[in-house]
Amino acid sequence: MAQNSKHQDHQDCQEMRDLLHLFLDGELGNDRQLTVESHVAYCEGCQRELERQKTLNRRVDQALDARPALTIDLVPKIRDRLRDQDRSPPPSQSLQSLPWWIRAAACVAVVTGFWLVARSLWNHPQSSTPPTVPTVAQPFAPSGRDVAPDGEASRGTEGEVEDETILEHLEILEAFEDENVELSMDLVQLLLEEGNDDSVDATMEALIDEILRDEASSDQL
Amino acid sequence: MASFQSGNEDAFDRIVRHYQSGVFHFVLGTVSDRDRAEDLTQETFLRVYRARSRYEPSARFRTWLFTIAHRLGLNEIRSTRRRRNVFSEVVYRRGDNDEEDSFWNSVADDESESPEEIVQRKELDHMILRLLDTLPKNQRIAIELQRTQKFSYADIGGVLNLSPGAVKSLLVRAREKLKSKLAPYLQDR
Repeated sequence: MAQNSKHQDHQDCQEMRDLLHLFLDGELGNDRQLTVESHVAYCEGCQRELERQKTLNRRVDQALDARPALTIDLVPKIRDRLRDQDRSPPPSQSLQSLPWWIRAAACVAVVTGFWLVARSLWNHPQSSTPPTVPTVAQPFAPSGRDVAPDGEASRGTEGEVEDETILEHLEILEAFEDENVELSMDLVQLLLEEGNDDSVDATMEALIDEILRDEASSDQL
Repeated sequence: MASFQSGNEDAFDRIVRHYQSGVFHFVLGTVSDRDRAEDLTQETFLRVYRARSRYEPSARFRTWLFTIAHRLGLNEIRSTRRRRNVFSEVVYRRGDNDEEDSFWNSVADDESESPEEIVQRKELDHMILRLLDTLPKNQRIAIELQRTQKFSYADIGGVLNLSPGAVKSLLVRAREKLKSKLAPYLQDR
């Protein structure tokens, strides 16, 4: 009986020690906060551990505070830079400097184009007749490919590889549609970059970086 | 921030003065020198100024601010491809008279401790800063934001693009490492 109680105490202490970080950081809900407080009130081992944690936090705070402070006020410098930028000529109209909504619209147009082409190919996979929506399909014909006099793109290995890519995009789009995910700017960007990146995180990171660059060039005050 | 968004320019200056030191130290933890950190701190606030109309009040302003600072710091590292220990270097860099003067002045000004105690405490500070330098980048950032800015796990996760659970793991691992290295110094006086 006494052994069971000892084992239970040990388990409690193990659990409590896992919670001490959260307790000190104020990340526990009220109920669990009270549970830890009441355990620590009678358990000397956990009390000692809590004190060690508190001391560590205090020492780290002291060390971080000891770093030399920023000795100048940045406001005048920032104001100067804002004034300088007001006076400088507007940036050239490169793709990067276009407003974000124009670029977003372009991205949506490209993806919609993919969708329509993929759909027409899906409906007529073996057909040798021209696509049913030639005006949309045309921009996606590869620039180096021979086009027959009647407008039909010659098909071969290269064309099949491209079809597979388009079908992959179609599947991704359908998957997102099933999930009722909105076709947002982020998603468009992800789809366009799909297959080229190591991971989604890297893609998103690049997107945020692009937004940061964009803010510098497009938001003229 | 709402006041600044509605066109109150003084509000922007107040925001800068309130956060400039915190952002500076945060960026200093990522890039290699004080001058670059100061430039990037200015750049962070310039981005905030330009993007003010796009700020959503539903997002916490300081999370947004530190996310911008974090991304700018990462861009800087990528472009320079270099990383030195910065916490410890900036505090007691040998041969830098200003830094040394400020160190010895702070020793002389503090009257509540004996000179020996002050020197010991400063050495401990230095050791802790060096240890922080040895932590993996995300652990160091999590500690910085949690201790100096009092960020919640969710806010830190917002900056690092991680879940609160992942932030908890970062902090636990960082503290365990610090605790094991600093064990002899953790007996409270």
